Amino acid sequence: VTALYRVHAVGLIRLAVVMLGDRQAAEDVVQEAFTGLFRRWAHLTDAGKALSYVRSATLNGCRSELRRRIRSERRSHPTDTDAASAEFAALVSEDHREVLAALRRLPARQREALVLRFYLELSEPEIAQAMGISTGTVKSTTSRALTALGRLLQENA
Amino acid sequence: MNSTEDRLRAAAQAAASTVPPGSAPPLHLPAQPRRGQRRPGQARPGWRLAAAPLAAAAAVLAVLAASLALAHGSPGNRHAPVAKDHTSGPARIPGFYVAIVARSNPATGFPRQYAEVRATGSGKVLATIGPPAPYRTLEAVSAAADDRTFVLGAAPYKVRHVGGGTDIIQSPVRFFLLRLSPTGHVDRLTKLPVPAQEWPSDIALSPDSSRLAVVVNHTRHRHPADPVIDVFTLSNGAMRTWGWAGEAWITNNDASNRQLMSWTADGRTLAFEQWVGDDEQVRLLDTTAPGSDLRSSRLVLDFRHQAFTDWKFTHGKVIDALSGYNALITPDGTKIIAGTDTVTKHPATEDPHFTVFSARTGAVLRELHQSAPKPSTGQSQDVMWVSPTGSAFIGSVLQPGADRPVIGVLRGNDFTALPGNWARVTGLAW
Repeated sequence: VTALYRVHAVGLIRLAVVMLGDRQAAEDVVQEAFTGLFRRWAHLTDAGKALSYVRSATLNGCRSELRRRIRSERRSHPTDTDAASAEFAALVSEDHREVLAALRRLPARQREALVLRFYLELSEPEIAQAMGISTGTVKSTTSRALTALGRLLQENA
Repeated sequence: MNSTEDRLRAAAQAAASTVPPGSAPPLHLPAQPRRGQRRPGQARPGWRLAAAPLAAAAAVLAVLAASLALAHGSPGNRHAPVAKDHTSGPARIPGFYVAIVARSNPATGFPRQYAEVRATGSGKVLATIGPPAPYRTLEAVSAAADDRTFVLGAAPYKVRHVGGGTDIIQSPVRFFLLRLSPTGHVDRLTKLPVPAQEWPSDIALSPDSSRLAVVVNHTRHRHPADPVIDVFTLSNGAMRTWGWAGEAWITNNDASNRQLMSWTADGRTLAFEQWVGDDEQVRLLDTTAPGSDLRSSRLVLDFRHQAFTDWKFTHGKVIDALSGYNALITPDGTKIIAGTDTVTKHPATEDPHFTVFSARTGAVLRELHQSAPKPSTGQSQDVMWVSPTGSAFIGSVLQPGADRPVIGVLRGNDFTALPGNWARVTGLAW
């Protein structure tokens, strides 16, 4: 697990940053994903699937974090991610922030499909495995998500 | 070049570049795994999916060929084909349907769409309908129960060049009532007294064609969405609105988002599909009850979408509605028929099929495993029309490797393909 972390941690943190827009939260999610991998290590059929597992776990963690933020926003309490998000905003241009903000307004599955496809450049079977859905559904979800994202960007234009 | 894709790629790379190489913090792990646990590769608990055997695909083709012995109706015969209803006599399949068809537009790379009226039994195109001026594309269709009345959604087609790419704006959408003659030809097409809607996700015409339900997922300034269902009375344009504040999206995640809603025959209950967090839900809204909160709708089905590593099996099996599949309520209000996927743990199998659920309890009443074509991994499927009691329905199945679905009538486990050219069809209404 430690060796896997050394090789893939930065890539997975980057994936989580794209999903969350927050470095600290991204690191926490990846840490938790590797902890889960450690606990499940004996249940994996082969080591080659460990990366698939930890990538899925990272996506699950991002989903949970976004849900937590929504609950927090409902209570109108400032979140501890605000400062980190401000730091992130300083490093990313306004146009890119607009796209990322629109991305985060999509339903979780649509957002994940787009990030896996257009950031990680995964194939449809790989996305299907990461998301636990069929390849046919990957195609429809990605198409739908891209349309929705385009509309969001148009609305904000 | 699609500017949305390019902007997304660039933004994602920019976000990722904020994490420099070698900047990951140290990994902190809990205590060592318990003694006796296996190392990876030592044993084989089932992983989720199994590939479909080629032999099964060959068998599918053989059975499909046999199933083509469908009694095709003539273009003007609105009662053919007939599906036998085991509980209440023959279930009549509508004689006509309207297809939204995409027409390629090389100038922009984005298609414009028109409508075709077709005979169900023969697939013959009876009429072609373009968007009424000044609109330039058709974006939605829904049918009443009389086989003669439909609503079409017409939209502009504004070309906008952004960042070296092209965007097409197909909003707002205006609605038109289409009446067919007894022979399936266009009788009249009239503008409805319904305000134009910005980016509607889907529409559903009530069975008696008196009301039109419109879903709009408002996205501006909300996270992640603020879905609204508006129901318009078509005689006078009166509107009732039901809203769900935040954290939901009325969608089945299908690319065309078709048939998110369905009515019962009495026009009281509107079934709709909604994502809430990671849950895909089917809910029933009593449109005659007071109030305006979608949360007052009754939750009937709740499918939780998780990574396959977190599937929870009950008695070694789990039934799930796949993203992109839809669910319709039967007109008698007793059942929900949905595209589903049954996953078994030992052995690890995945079997897409259709499931009939109780609309009252959500319990599984029946799983319909089609005899032809047999679905397998990688397929998607939709329910497009259901008979009054659900004894017959029209559904679509996309076979692995195919670029277009097979659409046909399902009666129990029997699937009979319908003739017709389904290429470039983006919406259907029976």
